[in-house]
Amino acid sequence: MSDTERDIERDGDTERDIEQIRLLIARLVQLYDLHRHDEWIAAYLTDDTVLTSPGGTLYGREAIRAEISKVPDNGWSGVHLLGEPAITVTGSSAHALTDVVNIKVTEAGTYAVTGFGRYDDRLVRAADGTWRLTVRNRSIAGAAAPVAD
Amino acid sequence: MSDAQDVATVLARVAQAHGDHRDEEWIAQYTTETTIWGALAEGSRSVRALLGLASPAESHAVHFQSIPVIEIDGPVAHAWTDSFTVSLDPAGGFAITSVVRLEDELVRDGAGRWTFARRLPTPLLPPASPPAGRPAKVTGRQP
Repeated sequence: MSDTERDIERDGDTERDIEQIRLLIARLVQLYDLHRHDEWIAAYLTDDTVLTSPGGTLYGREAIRAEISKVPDNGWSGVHLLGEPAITVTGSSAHALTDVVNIKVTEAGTYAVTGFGRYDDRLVRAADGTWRLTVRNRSIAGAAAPVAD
Repeated sequence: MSDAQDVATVLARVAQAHGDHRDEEWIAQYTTETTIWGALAEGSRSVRALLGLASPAESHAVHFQSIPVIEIDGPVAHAWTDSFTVSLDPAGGFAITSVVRLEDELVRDGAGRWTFARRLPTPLLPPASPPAGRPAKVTGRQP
């Protein structure tokens, strides 16, 4: 294989990694909004994932699961809308910055922006080849939200 | 460019064309037999009728889309996209007039072009019922 062919193959791998990470970031919030927490916790976290927000820090999958179980399931009542993430892949690690806007249904039956912020994510490629979130630092302006929001 | 990127581009172009009232352009992205809201739309006139269009004079809006989740299975793509519409009201203010999850099925034709075979928009808020005796006025729906 020539150097050029190796470069092309490496570029293709990076493109695939970025696409998988975009999918992870997008799918995670869609599942969250539908209260399908077991699915995103199982598919996208590691045992040691750390979630940090202005409300505090959760260490590990079980702590995250316990915290999220306190959030009442009122059905689909809000969405996390994401900007295009800036993703940097370095070997089996990655860094992603993603802007987010939270929109919820109000008691008056209208839509309201309840917050916006940025996900600062660290990810790793697991042994099975899938990408997992290891650290999420969430900055947010606006209403208080659950730590795992 | 990958298939997923191609599909993402189609989703973005359709939303932009709808916001700009370039109706023929986004309607052309539908197959001749597309299922919308669970109903079969045969031809562009049916697509237009099923999705409903506000006239440019009464609708200045932009459709923002979150990152789509796209799964490719050969010549078929499935996409789930959260979207919201910001509209300009007559008083000059801005309001979020629609939040929907779009569930799409697209197919790749012989020329490699992706077109919609099925679109199911699920609004976060159910559309308000029109007053008795008046037809529903549709604004802010996503194409």
